[in-house]
Amino acid sequence: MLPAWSKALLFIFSLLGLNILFGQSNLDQKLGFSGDYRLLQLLDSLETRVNIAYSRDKLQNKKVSLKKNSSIKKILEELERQKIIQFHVDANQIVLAPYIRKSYSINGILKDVDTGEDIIGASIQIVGTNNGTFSNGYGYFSITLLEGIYQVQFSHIGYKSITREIDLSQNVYLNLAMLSNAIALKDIEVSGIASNANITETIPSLNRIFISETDAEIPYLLGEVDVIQNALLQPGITSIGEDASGIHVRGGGVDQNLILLDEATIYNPNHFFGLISAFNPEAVNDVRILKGFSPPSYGGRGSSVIEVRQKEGNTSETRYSGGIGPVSARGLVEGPIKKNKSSFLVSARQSLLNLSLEDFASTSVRRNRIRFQDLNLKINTRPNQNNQFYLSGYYGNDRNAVGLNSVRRWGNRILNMRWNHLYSPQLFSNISAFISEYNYRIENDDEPGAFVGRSRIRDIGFKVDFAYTFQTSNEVNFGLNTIYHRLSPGSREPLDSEASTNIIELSPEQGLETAVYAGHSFALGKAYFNYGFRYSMLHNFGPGNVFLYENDEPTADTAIVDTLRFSSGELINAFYNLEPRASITYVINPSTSIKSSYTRNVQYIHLISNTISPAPTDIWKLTGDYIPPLISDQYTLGFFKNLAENSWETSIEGYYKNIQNNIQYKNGADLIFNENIETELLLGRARAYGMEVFIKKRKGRLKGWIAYTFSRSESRLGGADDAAFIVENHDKTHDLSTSWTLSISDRISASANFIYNTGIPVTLPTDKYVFEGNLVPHFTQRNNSRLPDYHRLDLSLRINGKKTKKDGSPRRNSDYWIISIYNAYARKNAYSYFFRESETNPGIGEIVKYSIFGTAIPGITYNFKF
Amino acid sequence: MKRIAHYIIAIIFLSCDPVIITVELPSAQNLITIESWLSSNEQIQQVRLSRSNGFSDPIQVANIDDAEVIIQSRIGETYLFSYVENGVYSSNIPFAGIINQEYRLRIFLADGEELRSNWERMQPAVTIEAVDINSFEENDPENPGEQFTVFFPKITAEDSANFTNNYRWLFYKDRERYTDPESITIQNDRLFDGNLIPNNFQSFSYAEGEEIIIELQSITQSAYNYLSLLRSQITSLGTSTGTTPATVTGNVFYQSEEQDELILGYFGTVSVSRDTVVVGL
Repeated sequence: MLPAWSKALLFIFSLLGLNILFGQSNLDQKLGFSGDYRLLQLLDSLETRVNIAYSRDKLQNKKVSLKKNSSIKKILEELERQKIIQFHVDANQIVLAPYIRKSYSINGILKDVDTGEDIIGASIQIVGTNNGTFSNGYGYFSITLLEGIYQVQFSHIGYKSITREIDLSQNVYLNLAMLSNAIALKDIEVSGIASNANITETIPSLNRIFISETDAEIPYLLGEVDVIQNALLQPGITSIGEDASGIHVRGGGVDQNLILLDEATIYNPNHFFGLISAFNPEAVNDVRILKGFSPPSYGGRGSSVIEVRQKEGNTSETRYSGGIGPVSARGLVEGPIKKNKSSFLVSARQSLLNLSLEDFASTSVRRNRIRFQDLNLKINTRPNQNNQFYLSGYYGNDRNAVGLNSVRRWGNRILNMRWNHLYSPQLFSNISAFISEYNYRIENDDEPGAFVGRSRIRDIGFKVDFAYTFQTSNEVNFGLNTIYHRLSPGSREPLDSEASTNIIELSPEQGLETAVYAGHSFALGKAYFNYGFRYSMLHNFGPGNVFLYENDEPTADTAIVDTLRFSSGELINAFYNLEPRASITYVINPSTSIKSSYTRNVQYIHLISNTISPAPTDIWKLTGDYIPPLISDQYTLGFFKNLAENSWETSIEGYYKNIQNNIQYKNGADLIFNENIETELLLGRARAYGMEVFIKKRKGRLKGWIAYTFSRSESRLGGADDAAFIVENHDKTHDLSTSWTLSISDRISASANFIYNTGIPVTLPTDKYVFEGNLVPHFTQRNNSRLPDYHRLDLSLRINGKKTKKDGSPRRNSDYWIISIYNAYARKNAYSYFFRESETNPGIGEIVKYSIFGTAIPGITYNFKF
Repeated sequence: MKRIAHYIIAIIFLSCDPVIITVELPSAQNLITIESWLSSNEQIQQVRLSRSNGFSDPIQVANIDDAEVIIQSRIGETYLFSYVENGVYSSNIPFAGIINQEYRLRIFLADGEELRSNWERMQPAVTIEAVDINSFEENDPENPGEQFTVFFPKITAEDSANFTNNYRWLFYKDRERYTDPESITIQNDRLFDGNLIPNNFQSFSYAEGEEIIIELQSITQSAYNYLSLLRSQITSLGTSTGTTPATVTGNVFYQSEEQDELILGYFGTVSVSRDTVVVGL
């Protein structure tokens, strides 16, 4: 006797068998007719022979051609091949349905035809539609479409556009090489339609810097090309002054910018106290500045993301490039390890100024010597089209000899490993791990106070990002970032046995900053939505102490009533925050769009600095019991319009930013080796709002842009609603930057920058008084006035070497000179006011205007590539 | 390229000349200013009273010559002061602040208002054990290529352990005190508690044959904080590494609750250790 379940299985198998038999016997019937018919006519005929189910209303009555003696099965298969119907056999019935087109992906990598570099941020557009995407930070793109024949346009501002016809009947992988504008012959203007990427880009408030392309011709101080100085020409990005380090993005503090070099955090992006950035232009491939909306994969800072990607290295041939100017000499060598599979890049830069300064007669200058160097390394290999591995490193070092006995050194170091993997044409992943370190060291050999002081911040990070493309403009991103921060805020120990200095070591901090995120971008008609969340958290672990204060208020060291001590690995405290993000881009037509966004950013690490401009000695501190996370909410609305076939790009954007838990400092705050630094801090609220106008000409012999920002940045102490807001030190009501490059001939181009901005706030004294014979200014209200307006014109001339040999063949090597004049009309811009006692009239106060660069400053650099 | 760099840097440094300007300032507050350091030395002690005026006013600050001034100790001693000149009031008799004793300043203004300082404790003095003279060679700005020798004092003194000490150094050249803002030299023993006090005084330069007088003053934490903020406000303002301009709050206040006007300046106590050397002898 068979069990009941066996009987059931036999029945099912019997039915399946009958079904198969039915299908085979009926479908194999041959028709006796042939020729051209209408579909419905054919189906009417078939219905007399087999059981067919279909809806007449849904089928298109297309013409079909039948061959003689075709079986029913063959006819149906042919109709399916012609994408007219699709069918399946269901029990004793043939079910017909209209043909539904399948989706396939076009994916691949965009590369520079000459160098093999990944092309980041290129636009991939389906011609005649609003469908498109952008190549990601690794040059990879994926676009999923219904099967069909498409015209696909690949464009990038630095490259000649390519249009390809693609018959999409299966997944298509493209390894596409694009020709750089720099190589394209000048008299053949980059053809095709200029990209409207700025219109369709779904990340509002995004600025890009093409440091190796047209932006390299923009004149800077002493002829040096510089990432940060270029960023300052973009709307919404400012600095306090010419020798100030750090930048402010839409009113945020200098520590509110997440600066990433190949995905690893850079804590101090400056050399030379801010005059030169830490990014060697020779090694930089792409710079993106996200001022407003941050996709959920980014976080940890309140204001912006500045993402710098190093070049990958030339995969096709070994190339050398470099340059020398008054400030630095730099060189780069790159080439294939295995042709078209793997490559390397080594780049180095060394300052030259220290050699010069030491020879000056001026005592103060001779005693204050500074120099820097940096080194970039990168190796990447692509063993197959689904995998790419990267290893990159950066080593930067500044050395500053102060006086007779002190030497200060500081620098960033990073090591980053990445693996890009393609699981399928739709699913892309980036997995990376990095170590980032910022060190500061001061050594003083003057006995008996000789000492060595150190501070360090070290991040060990891991991140995994996934991007899944469902269809065109329908993509999900999700992932996890985690960074283990170890902060050693300061140690000080005797230099040798004769030194009297105590050993002091401030308690290190250990925090695990983690975030999980998910984002979805999709198109709905002409609207593109990009929304998601980031759930961030910080866990602080011991060893560490938490001081308890009277009334829970860290007013002073003397208010400490108890100390909680935590052993190694013990959880001290934890913070959790949800960071929602959303943006919408409404493309009115291919040349017009409106964009709006909301972004919440939470920051768990803070720069502790009460000087006007941050110094390399400043320490960072993790959020803790008395320093809550900084929370920034930003709202943006912008209108984008391209003119003359995208030759002109224009936009106007407004923003409002509210910052909670903004850190400020008590008067005279003592921040050096202070174990109870919370007693010196004050918390408050900050806000910033403004409007940015951007006009850019992208084609023609004359290219350039005008960036204008009208803005306000304010802060106040405490949470009282009636407390007055005071303008921040970096507030500039009007800020205008314009930069233009004119191609005079094949070999010569000229550039000019003009900068105008409202003077930064200054605190003017009300009174003077005398204490111990010194005249002292008395201040009552901070930032109660402004310095005079700032304006400056910079000029430069680029002279390219000959491009052809005597026999007319093109030279493989290229070189050029850049001759620049910074501050061409020698404007004595006020950097600050000093309030001092008159030398000629004792007891009387006088205000002295101080300029850093009070004259026109020439510069010259020579650059080569072979 | 190096030569080009030389020219460019020379241009930059030569172009940084400051310019005196006129700026419209907020209204002056005309605040009372106190200046007094009660010394542990037996001497005529002094208090200086003045009133601030507009920073750009073309007149010097006004002295206050009609107040009554006394210094009191916790144990009930009272020392009377009389007006002398230039806003200075001198004690009627010489006296010395006693170590570990607390003192305060009381001022009775002509309008009937009374000002009082917080109590200030006289700190234990620290002895200067030795003074050595060190030197370095300096470029002569008037004779390019030439150098001259700069002498500076190197002082041995030991900090007492286990409690917080704050110090102030005063230097005199041929009996004339260095008074410029950069000369305000203060130290806190947090970095060298119980050890030799760091003695890098290269910024006080002397020539051969000149007399160096050194005073090592022990001051309170409050005085240290005051001088630290004061120094920042008259030395580093306006530079990128400078602090934010701020009100330098002292330790003297109106007694009347109706009167909340700020009093500038400070009343402090200093225990003094002193030594004298002559360069080259």
